Amino acid sequence: MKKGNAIKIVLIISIVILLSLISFVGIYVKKTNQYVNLIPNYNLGMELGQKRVITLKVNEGKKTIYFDENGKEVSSIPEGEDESKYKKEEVEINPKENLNEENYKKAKEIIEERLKNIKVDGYAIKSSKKNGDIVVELPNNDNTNDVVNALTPTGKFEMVSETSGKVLLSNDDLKKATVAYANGQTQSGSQATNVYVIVQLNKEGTKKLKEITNTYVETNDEDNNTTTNNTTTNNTTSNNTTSNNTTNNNTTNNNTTTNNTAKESGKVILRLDWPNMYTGNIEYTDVTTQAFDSEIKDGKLQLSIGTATSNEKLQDYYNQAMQVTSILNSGLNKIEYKIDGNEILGTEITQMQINITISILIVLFAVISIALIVAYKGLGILGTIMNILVIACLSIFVRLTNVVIGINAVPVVISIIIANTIIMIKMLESMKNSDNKKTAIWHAILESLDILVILLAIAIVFTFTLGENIAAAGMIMFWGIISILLTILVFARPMFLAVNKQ
Amino acid sequence: MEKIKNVKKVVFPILILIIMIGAIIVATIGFNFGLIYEGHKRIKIYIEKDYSVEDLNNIIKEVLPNEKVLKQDIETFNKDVSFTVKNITAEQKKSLDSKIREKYKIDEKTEDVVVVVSEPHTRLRDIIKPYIKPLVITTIIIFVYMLIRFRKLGLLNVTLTSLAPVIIMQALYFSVFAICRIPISKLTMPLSLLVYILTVTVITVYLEKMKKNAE
Repeated sequence: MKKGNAIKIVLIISIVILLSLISFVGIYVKKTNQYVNLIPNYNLGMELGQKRVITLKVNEGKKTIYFDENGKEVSSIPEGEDESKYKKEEVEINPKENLNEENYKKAKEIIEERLKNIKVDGYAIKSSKKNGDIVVELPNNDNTNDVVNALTPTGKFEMVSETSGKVLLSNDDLKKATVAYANGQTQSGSQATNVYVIVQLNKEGTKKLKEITNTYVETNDEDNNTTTNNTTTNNTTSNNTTSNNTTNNNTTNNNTTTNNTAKESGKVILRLDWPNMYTGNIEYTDVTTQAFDSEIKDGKLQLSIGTATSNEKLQDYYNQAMQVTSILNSGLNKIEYKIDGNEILGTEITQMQINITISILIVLFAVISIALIVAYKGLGILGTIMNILVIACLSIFVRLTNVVIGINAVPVVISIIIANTIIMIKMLESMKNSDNKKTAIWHAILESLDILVILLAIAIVFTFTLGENIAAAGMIMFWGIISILLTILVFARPMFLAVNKQ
Repeated sequence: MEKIKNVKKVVFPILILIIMIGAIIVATIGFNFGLIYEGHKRIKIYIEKDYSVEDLNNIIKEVLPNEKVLKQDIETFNKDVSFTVKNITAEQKKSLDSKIREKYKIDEKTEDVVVVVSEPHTRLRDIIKPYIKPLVITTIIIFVYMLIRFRKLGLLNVTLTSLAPVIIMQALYFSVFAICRIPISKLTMPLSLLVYILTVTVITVYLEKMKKNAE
């Protein structure tokens, strides 16, 4: 019996040492003439690693507006046209009356709303009341450029008459924009996914759109050829896809009779911030120019971002669609910003602060260990070893699952060590005061579940919170709970019982 | 038991007093913000040569002797660096520029060796806001769990024991910051989180003990 217990103790201690070595040192294998660690490195978050700092300044420049012979504003002089026919006017991009504290505050709220809508991993934002400068800090990863793209557009949404330039729909008519998908096929017959932005108008906007679709109708010529009326945008004209299962498409065959006697002829132009098909940058452009062949009653406009034939392309189009919807859903920014700075910065946390934090952790650990050893002697030493094992297991889990280590990792790790220590003490106390050690230790573990349930509640809520710092803390807490359970059930309980029998 | 009651009679009024003084200070003069959170200037230094950060630090300390300086790397090809300070005047910027050019033999034609950017103040609510929702939700979940788990101790007893310490400890934590003028820094919210987790852990252990004693 005693020999069996001794073997058990030695085996458990060996496994503990092995896991600790793996965690703190790693597993090195030779790969092409160099040693590589199989255990991935720590993934440092925004606060401890690199971050992208974007400085937005109020655009104080001027822009040129063009007016045609009829006095209608045009976005630019069409190619080949005689420039002398057009009148030019230099105006300030941001009129002085818009540059006030209220609009600066609103601009910051709009940008924050966009960051939340895009579900960015984490951010920090600050603004100046005096000059409207906004500084945004973001984690530096593959998606950061897409997020930066969505910061400066004003979010202006307009549908105007092509002939008269009259504004038919504006931001006041918007309710919500969402991303949608539809299965489709390319001309060659291969599977594809169409990515759309669905713009839902509010009650007033729906009424207006219904009138517009009855006014600006598609006209038929003698040979029964219709004018272009599909909703493909500039981005997809080269894709030539047919889409199945799309809803609320302007080109669906509704059985409404088209009104060929239009009150106003011509088409409407839909203008909003849209990804440039070549650069991917978000720019305020004429997205569609069209007349309607059927009435739209439900107030939905379906705009195609693109057709993806690969997962990579689908992700690109999805990101672009998210940028567009986040811009539309956050409201119209009365102030136009430009990017004054876009840099990757290292951490502000100094080496001295890191050294102080590590020293505090070591001192805390030492105090806990000394207290355990003084109170429980040999079993106290084993309790300390179990604490080291919890940290080792947590480290391995965090590295293998690529959890981001942020500044909130420190309080979480301290909490895990303290929780583990409390459970160890409960187990050791229960063994001290009872004849039936096995049952007593199980009771102690079951009593300790309350603490683990509380920590689990924190872990779950934090993991599903938006924000890298907080979500990462939740995930570390979760792995900490797993490490505690693994330690007490697989190592601590058998070891304490074995040592007690010895 | 008597001893505990006497201790409570002394400790609680002191806690309430500290919290009230803290609240008055916050309402009147506010918190003391660290360099990163208050409005500051960032000095970005672009040198297309090998340089020593120590040398740059010394030059900056020479030009700005009374300023606290915080260094950050700028991840560019040349591994440029930025220093955060509370304030730098135009003359000081000029002086810094000429000292760096002299030290690293950079000619006058090279532009933008020293660039100064103003960064606005970060409001306390922007620092705290991300934590409010998850902490409130967690507190509600934990409170409901405590009510169910320790219902035999009495609903009012459990409510007071589980909610009051959480609120008091957080108020006390921020009051200490306000009274002692400890700068609000990147570590402020993580430490607040630690206080919260330890408070709920201690409450759980205390309620378990109360339940055991009651049984």
